[in-house]
Amino acid sequence: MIDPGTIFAGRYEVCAHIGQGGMQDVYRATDLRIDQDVVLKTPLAGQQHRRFRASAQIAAHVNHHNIAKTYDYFKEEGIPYLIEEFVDGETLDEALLGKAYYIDPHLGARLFQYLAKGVAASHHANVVHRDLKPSNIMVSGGFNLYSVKITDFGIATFTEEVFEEAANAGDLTRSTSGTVKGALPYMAPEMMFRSPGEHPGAAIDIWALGALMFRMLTGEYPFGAGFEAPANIKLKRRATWPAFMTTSLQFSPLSQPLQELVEKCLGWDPCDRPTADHLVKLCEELCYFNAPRDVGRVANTKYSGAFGFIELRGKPNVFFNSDSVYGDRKATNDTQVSFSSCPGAPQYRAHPVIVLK
Amino acid sequence: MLIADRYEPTGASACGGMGEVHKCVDRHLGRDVMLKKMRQGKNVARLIDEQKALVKLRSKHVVQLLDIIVVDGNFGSKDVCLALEHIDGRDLQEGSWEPNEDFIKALWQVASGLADIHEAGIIHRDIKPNNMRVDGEGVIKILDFGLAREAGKDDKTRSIIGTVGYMAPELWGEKTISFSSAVDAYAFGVMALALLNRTLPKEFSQSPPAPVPSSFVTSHIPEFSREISCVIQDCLSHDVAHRPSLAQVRDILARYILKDRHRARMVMGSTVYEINSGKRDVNLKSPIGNLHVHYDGFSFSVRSASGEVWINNGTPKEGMKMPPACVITFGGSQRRNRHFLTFDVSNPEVMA
Repeated sequence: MIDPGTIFAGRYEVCAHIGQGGMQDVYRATDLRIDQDVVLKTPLAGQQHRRFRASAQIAAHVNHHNIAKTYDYFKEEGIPYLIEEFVDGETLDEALLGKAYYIDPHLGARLFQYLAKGVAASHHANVVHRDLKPSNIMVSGGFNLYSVKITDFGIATFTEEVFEEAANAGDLTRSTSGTVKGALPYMAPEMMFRSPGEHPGAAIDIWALGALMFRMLTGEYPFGAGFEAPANIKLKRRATWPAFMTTSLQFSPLSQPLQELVEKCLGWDPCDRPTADHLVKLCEELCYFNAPRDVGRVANTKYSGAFGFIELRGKPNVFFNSDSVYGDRKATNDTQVSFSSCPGAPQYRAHPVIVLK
Repeated sequence: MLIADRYEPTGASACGGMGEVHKCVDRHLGRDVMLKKMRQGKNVARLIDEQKALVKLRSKHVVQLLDIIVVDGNFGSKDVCLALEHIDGRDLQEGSWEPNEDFIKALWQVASGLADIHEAGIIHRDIKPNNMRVDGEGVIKILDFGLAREAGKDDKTRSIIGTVGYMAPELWGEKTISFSSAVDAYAFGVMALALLNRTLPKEFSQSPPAPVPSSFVTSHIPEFSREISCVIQDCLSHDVAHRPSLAQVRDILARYILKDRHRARMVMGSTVYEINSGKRDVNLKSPIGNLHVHYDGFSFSVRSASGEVWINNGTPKEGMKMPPACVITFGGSQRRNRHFLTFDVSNPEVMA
């Protein structure tokens, strides 16, 4: 563990340890030279780092606001360090699914659009991420999605190496590697069941996006967690969409095209999946409602929850109708909810509303 | 030769508003960066502060600062260099655009970037097409920040404090004047016209520029909708106070990008009504109340209402804008058979 206050390359001062991936330690640091917060990443002790530099250079060629920028790479005392854009927030997993069971289609449409744009930019630079999953995406602003940035492009070739080794050792789907296991729910079939020496292309990122959006919109893995995924994918057995997405006439006009898009991304044959550019175009056609979101606590529900009020600190209560609550969970008294609101009398009215954990 | 142990000159260089610019390879990451050698003088510290403020802003329309280094200059002096990300793309070109939707989107991006910059309290002072670059992803980046602020002292200084044609009339004064972000608004207005494939009248190229008639933009670009013409005309105003903020310009342009692309869905039980550009009106009639909602391409509003009708529990008034997500109620609370309709507006999102 690096002590806070340690300065690297004469300019990066470590502030705090903020995370540990399967292969690297992650710290928040300050770039003293240009006075900005950055992320410092370094391979875990004992991890091979022969490809760390190559990965950093690959990532450095992708420049887009939905991708965390790569700023610097250097070695000190033989150990490589990578400096990356800092996102003041949480991973997509923590920010959304850590708080809600699933997200409503309006939020989903916006998230999809950001991610598609980021993936398209990386594919334009001929960089395939290979390990897109919620823990590799940073979000600031919580449900407001102030910024959404895909990260760990630098680690992609590493992951590739781990996958390659696992594939060479026999069956990738029986690997004991934590990295492989964590990637399986989002891994395309051609990656999962590839033979040694096969190198699946950009379409694996599209599959991963589809699987990720399925999880965000439903709260479920499309093919199950961990080693369930290969079994289900082999049988072409995908989880069904929950009925709540389309039973409400208010949400179905957006849920339906979103489901179609996700299904396109989850095409069994890589050729059936849209390219990232095409996916961006399809996302740009989605009509959704994008208004700031607040978090509050449900109180004073009436008529067995048909309607009620949301209390939020420092602001007047907001009225809600149960029809505006997305999903199969009821907004009962004391439940935390995330919602947008519109003017009304005497209270503002919330729509859409999602129940928080 | 490596500069600061990291940057390898490629030999390509140019002279920008800020000073010499050299394209280098960043050996740490194997990618191109731009090294800008800053002109000597008391402004260096302020320019660096400004660059740091831009970093904090994190606008997608602003080029990322990567490093600040000091190199040996001539005669034993020390020069400050900024390393900035290299944007692979093409500059905006004068005379190359048609007044179509793509053009409005490009202007919207520039206005968004300028609004971001102004929000951070920074004035660009040299807005012109070849300081705007479209990157490979279609995102417009604003380049070359940091012109000296000491305007109007003498003609020699003046020659480098802006670009003739884009400099606001107040910059041509005899005495030193204080700048405001309105100089960027003026330059934006000129740029919006100069990018189009139509010849601009001589008023714009005079030193100082001469005013144009208040109907100029409308007659010059009849394809523009009235509101866009007006806001560009206002940018060109010789009265500084009359120019709009770039945030206002951005919002007006965004409105037009979304024109006729909204949808409102009204649901009652299993009945669905949709209002959009193909069907702009819904007239709900019942024995207890009537409500007529109309879409004008920008928003949905109440054309007429009578009887027992409420919108989000409030009384609808003629001309009132519909909240983008609301409930319409027919029938007062004394009635048993009240009717409720949900009303939801959605639209595609404008994203750079």
